[in-house]
Order: sequence, then C-alpha cells, then structure tokens
Amino acid sequence: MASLFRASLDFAAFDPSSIEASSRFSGKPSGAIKIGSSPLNLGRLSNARLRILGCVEEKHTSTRKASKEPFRLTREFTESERWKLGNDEQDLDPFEELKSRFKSFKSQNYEENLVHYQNLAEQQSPKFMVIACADSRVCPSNILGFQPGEAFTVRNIANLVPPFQHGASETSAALEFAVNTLEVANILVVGHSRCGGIQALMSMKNDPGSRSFIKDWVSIGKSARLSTEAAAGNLSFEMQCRHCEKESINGSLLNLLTYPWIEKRVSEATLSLHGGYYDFINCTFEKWTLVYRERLEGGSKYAIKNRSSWS
Amino acid sequence: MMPAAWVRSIGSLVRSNRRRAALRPAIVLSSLDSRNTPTKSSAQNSLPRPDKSSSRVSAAPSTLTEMDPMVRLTSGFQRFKKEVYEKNAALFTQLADGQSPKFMVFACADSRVCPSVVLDFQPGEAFTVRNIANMVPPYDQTRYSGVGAAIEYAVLHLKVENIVVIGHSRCGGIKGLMSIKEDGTRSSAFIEDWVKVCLPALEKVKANHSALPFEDQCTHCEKEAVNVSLHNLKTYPFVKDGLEKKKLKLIGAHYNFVAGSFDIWEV
Repeated sequence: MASLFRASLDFAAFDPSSIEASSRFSGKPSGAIKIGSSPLNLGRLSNARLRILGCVEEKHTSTRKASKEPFRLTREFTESERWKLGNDEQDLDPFEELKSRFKSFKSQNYEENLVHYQNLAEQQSPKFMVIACADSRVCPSNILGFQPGEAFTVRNIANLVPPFQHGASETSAALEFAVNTLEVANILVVGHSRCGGIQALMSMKNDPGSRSFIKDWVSIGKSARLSTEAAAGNLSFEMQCRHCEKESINGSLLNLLTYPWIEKRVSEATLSLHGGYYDFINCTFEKWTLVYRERLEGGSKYAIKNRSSWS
Repeated sequence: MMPAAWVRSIGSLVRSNRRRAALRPAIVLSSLDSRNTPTKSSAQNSLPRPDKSSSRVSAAPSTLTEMDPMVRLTSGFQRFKKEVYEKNAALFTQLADGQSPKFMVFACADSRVCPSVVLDFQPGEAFTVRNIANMVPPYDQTRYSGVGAAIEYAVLHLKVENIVVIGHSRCGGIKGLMSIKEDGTRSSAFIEDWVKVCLPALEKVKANHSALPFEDQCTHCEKEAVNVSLHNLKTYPFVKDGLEKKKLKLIGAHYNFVAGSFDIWEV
C-alpha cells in the first residue's frame, strides 16, 4: 500500500509557525500572508531578470553553433542547457514549488477577484471550447489570455480531433460535454509551430514492427500528411511540417463535423468552428472560421472565412 | 527561530517569484483594461504589477464575457505579445528551439482550473494534458492512444521529472461518474464510457462514504479519482521504469475553488 504524505494549504486554518516568518519578511501584522508583494521581492526583481537574461545570453551563443547541425524541430536539451534554463530552481523540491505557486495565485489572483470566483464556483459558462496541443509552450491561457471561466480546454498531442467513427475516447467525451452540456458557442482548434506530434506524423514510416502510442495517435492526422505531401512535397522537411501543422487543424475541424450534435448546431448557426495557428518563432497568430454549407458556390460544403493574422 | 523547512520554502518562494514575475503580467481579470498600465515602482522590471483598483474592476469579467469572441481572442493575443513575449525575447528564442519542461500535468478541461493560472506555469514549464476529470486510463495498447501518446512523449522524449494529476471541486465529470445508474441506463453517448476509467473511485466512495450528502461524496470521489489515475500511471512500463530509477515522481493534487484551498500529496 503506497504511503501518502498529505499537505493541505487551506487559508481558513492558520498555521501559527508562519506568522512570525511572514511578519519578518513583509513587515505586515500577523494574520496576513501576502506573498510576492513584499519590498524584498520587488527590489530584487530587476537583478533577477538580468541574471536570467545573462544565463540565456550564453545559451544563445551555443544555439548559433547548434544551427550547423542537421535540423531537428524539437530536441531535448543537453544536461548543461537544462542547468542554465533552470539553474535557480534546480534545488527546489517540486512539491514545495507547487505549494508556493498556489499561495501566490491565491493571494494575487483568487483573493483579489473573490466575487468572480464565487460566481464561477456555482457554474461555468464558457463561450469557447479550445482544443490545443499539450506542448508546454502553447497554453491557450498564456497566449490568448483566457481567464478562469472563459474556455473549456482540451489539450492533447498535436491538438488532434479523432472522427466520430473512432468511437468513445477522451476527446469525444469532452466534445459531448462541451457542446451538449455547456453549450459553448465556439470551438477553436489551435495548432502551433515546431509541433513534435506533427513532426512524428510526417516522419512516420510504414513499419508494422515498431508500434508506439505516439504513432497510433498521430495517425489520426494522416490525411493532413497526404495533402501536405501532395501540395508541398518539394519543400524542405521543416516547411512540410509547417504546412502539415495547418492542414491538420483543418482536418480536425472537418472531423468535428462528423459528430452529429456538432454538425446540427453548426448548421443551425448556434456553434462556430475556428482554426488558429500560433507561430512562436515570430510570435504571430493566424485565425480563420470554417464555413459550412452556407450558400457556397458550386455546391461546396466547406469554405474558410474571416481569416486574419495578428503580429 | 524559524523551522528549517520554512526557511527553505520562503527562499524557494522568493526565487521562484522572481523568475515567474519576469514572465507573466500579474493577472488577470482586469487584463484587458487599458487603465492597468505599469506603475512607476514596476518600471525597473517593466511588468504590470497588480493594480489595486482591480477590486473595482472585478465588474470587468462580465464585460469580458460579453465581448465579441473574435475581438476577445485578438486582444488576448496582442496583450500576450506585448506584455510577455516581447519583454522576454531571449527566453522565447530559446523555447523556439525546444522545450524541456520539468512537469507533466494532467488537469481537467474545466474552464475554471487551468494549471497555468492556478499554478502559474510559464511557457516551457509544464507539458499539459487536459481532459474530462483529469483521468489517466490504465496502460492498454488497444485504446486511449491519446493519453498513452502524451505520457510516452513526456516521459521518453521530453524526460519530465514529475507527473502531477490535479483534480478539482465541482467537477462535472466526477459528478457524472457518481450519477451513473446501476440499472445500466445511459444518459450520454461518450461521457459515461470515459469517466468509468475511474470506476474504482466510485466503488470506494460508495463503500466508505455513502452516508454523506451527495456533494461531499463527490468531493471524496474527486480525490479518489486522482489516486486511481496515479495508480494507472504506474501501469505504463516507461513510467514504472522512471519511478524505479528515481527519475520520475508522481504527485496528486486537488484544487478547491469553493474553499480556495489546494491539497497536494506524493505517492
């Protein structure tokens, strides 16, 4: 039987041993733990930031050298690079780190917006469902600024949506909940640059001997790979991957329409489907909306509208 | 005399706040308000500090939700670009080359519980899977390839050091699990199939807490389901291997946004 070590951070119950510590650091009277707002922290911020940039400067030099190597879209950092990235946090116990982060969230966000959180506790009514990649660099709350309550968010490898015919899965359950229960008005599928999942899709060889979960999953996007090879097969591997990243977003949008309850709402114009592409190399965001059956010329079922690019 | 553990946690807090404050504008619900411009005290680090008027601006959330969705996205991205990306260009240049997150996180898709907000994960820190009720099914090569692929990628390729499974209060998926009818009648096409991944949690709650009100049973189930998912993680050979070699740690957590609390435990 695994033994459990439990720590509960409940600010309703006060820890007396923390009173002395907090008043020594923040000068506040006992009874208040305000984290992140003491003069001590503010004064050190600029130095700390310079220090971080100093670390990164060294890394930047090594990046220029690395560009002579064969291009790899996503790579693991070497041990020394990891040290430079996370130097000041290498010795932090993750358990303690998560606890302290929550304390900061509680004091700087939750308590500052208590009424809003109390309302949210009763129910959520997000306008968006977002399907984004699990990549650590592309959280939609960061890049699109979604606040608590705004976006019901599914994240998986390469922001893929399997078609309805694949049956029960984590994604189909999430779609059912978002559309039928929460009745979101918009579904946004967000892809991104240098996606490891798309790279895996584009690199996949037809080798029945080597199976992996990754291969099984990214195979959902195989039609995007085919159309990429047809349209961009003469381009470099990196450019093909970039093309496929966008193709697979459209593939996912079309797969959304294979769900009867989604198709119905899109036809009735109570649900809109959008694609988005975040390029973190140049910091740009492209966005478009799928048009379905709406008086399209030549009997087309699908088209794109409202394409825009933000940079 | 402060306990040593407290000294360590304060020290770590100061260090971690230093770094994180450099990357994230201090929040949140007043973020689209042009009044929230940096104050003089923050000019050194050029980051917006929490605007004390934000309590006044807490009326803003309803304004935000009434905004046209596409305008909402544009303004959200522009703010990210201006306040975060351009102010940390060197870091983002580095991240463009590759990611090296220490954490893999399983969180619920619920709009209220994004781990980047609750635990302040910055770009590059946490490889994050979000699904209904933050569930991890057991290792099965014939199904659930989405979760399997994510764990495989995180553990074997990204070499994350910690996998955190975070449950939360008022979870609709857990409520759905707790509401499954014993006579076998179904109320959904896919949701029930999915939440049954954590059926052992339901059974445990029914065995131990059936006298409690339904809402309290759900709270217990939310936490038990995290334990079921942590147990299921260990059925993946690459996770088991990482645990044996002490390169991987499993952490369970529960975010309660009703009480404003956060439970965290190690297995």
